[in-house]
Amino acid sequence: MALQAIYSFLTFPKKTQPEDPLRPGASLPIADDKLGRMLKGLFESAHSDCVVPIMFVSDGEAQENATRGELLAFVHCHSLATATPLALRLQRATSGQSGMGLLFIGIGQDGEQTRVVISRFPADEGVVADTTHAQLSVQFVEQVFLKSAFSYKAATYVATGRPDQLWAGHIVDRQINAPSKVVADYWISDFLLSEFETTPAAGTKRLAVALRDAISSSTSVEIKREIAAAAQLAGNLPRRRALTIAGFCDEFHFSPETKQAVLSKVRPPRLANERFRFDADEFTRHIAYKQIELSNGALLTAPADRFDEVFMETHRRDEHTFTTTGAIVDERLKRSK
Amino acid sequence: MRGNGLREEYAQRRAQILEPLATRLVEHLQGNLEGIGRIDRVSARAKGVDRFLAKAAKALEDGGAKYEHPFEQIQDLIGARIIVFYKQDVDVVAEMVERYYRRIERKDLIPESEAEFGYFGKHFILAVPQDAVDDEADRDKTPKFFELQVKTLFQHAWSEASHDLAYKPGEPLSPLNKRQVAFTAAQAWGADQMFEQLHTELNGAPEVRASTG
Repeated sequence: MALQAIYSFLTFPKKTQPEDPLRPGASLPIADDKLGRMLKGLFESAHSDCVVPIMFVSDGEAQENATRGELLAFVHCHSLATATPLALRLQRATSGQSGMGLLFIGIGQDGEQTRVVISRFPADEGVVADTTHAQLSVQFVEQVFLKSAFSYKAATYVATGRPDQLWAGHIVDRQINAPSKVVADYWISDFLLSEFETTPAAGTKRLAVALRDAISSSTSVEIKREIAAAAQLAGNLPRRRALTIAGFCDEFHFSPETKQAVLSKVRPPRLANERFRFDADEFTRHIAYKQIELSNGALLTAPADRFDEVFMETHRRDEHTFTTTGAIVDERLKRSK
Repeated sequence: MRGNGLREEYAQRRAQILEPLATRLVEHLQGNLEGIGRIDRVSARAKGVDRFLAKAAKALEDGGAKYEHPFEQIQDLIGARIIVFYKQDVDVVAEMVERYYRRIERKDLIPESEAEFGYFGKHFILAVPQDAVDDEADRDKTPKFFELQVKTLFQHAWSEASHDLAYKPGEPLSPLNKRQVAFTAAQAWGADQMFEQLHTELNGAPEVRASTG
């Protein structure tokens, strides 16, 4: 994998002043020094660092996306001039909350294909300690850019040269689950004009169906209990929370057996790690009711998110007693459970 | 790639990749249509070899090839259809499509002029959902997109019959034939209008938000 060129820009938060110009960028030499090695490392690790699939969105008939158009122009003939529109777009998408950033746009060969890596390091403040001349010198600096900062972001695209290229890419965004939707969305939605490849409804349905299939095929009471408890609490997840099915299992502290039971129901298996935004309404559509069967033949059913309110439970050893009070509004005879 | 090489390559991809994928897309669409009423049918087909070759051979006005990379540029290698009863149902299904699929194109297929008649429905170009692509699949040869059309029964009936009769290469329609085809489109359009009104009056369905032609 060979990094061929890298362009850098200082971008300011100009979301509210989009007409403000971009400061001139620079084409950086790819030298064998510390900066050059860091940039090469960034480029070479992008395929493993950026694991979240995203897709450019297009509204309407023309199959157009402005960011994709700029990316295609950059890939077609990379230069400081063709990198500049992408930097300007980032500046115009950046709010004061995200602040100043240092943008790198790298391009190079990855096998027979061309890879582009776009990364942004946020500006921070820091203290530099210098021990030259056997004396400690300490200075406060304002424009420090930290790769390991919490809000480091990158996106990578592989250009195949085919007409359908560059609709999809991969990102890493360490702020993806930040409480503020504005911060979490500006990199994907506002700058890249993209969304996760899996829609919120599709991803949430996939999760709900995996949970439902796992609970119905398992014979372990413990596995069923863990999944039912998680399903009950899932409605409280924040709106548009980005997660994966494997991440959901970890978040609700599933035992290894329960996690395996859920993941084994994901088809195809690689999608257990596909990221999507949680959609509580969609989840409820697929896991609306919780049902418990007792050894005496009783079947208790109630809305999953209110089961514990509807039935009061006490237990002594293995014997459980459920009590509930309400007016009878319906009665049914059913052939099966 | 042209000629016999293109035919063989497409025929192979069609049998090994496109036809199985079309079957999985039908299942995927049906799964997402659960609970939505008045769906007449869901189907998907891999484009036939001859139709693919005919489309791949299309030329631009300047004589150059329209499709330099037909496997990637022709986005309806797999075409899916959802046929519904009434025009209101087209909107319900379109909403489902927006919820579960990523699209790069959406259009209402309507005639270019109000004085013309043709009757087609809604059209989407959608990303092939990852659930429909096996882990073992050859991703390089698997299409990234497929076409989905959502039509009423009358839109479907008109477009199938008119396509069969009116698009024969080398056989242009006479003026009378054209008027007859336009008349059938108007009849189908009128029937959908009436069913839309009846569906609203008798079933309490909402009126269609925007005309689909």
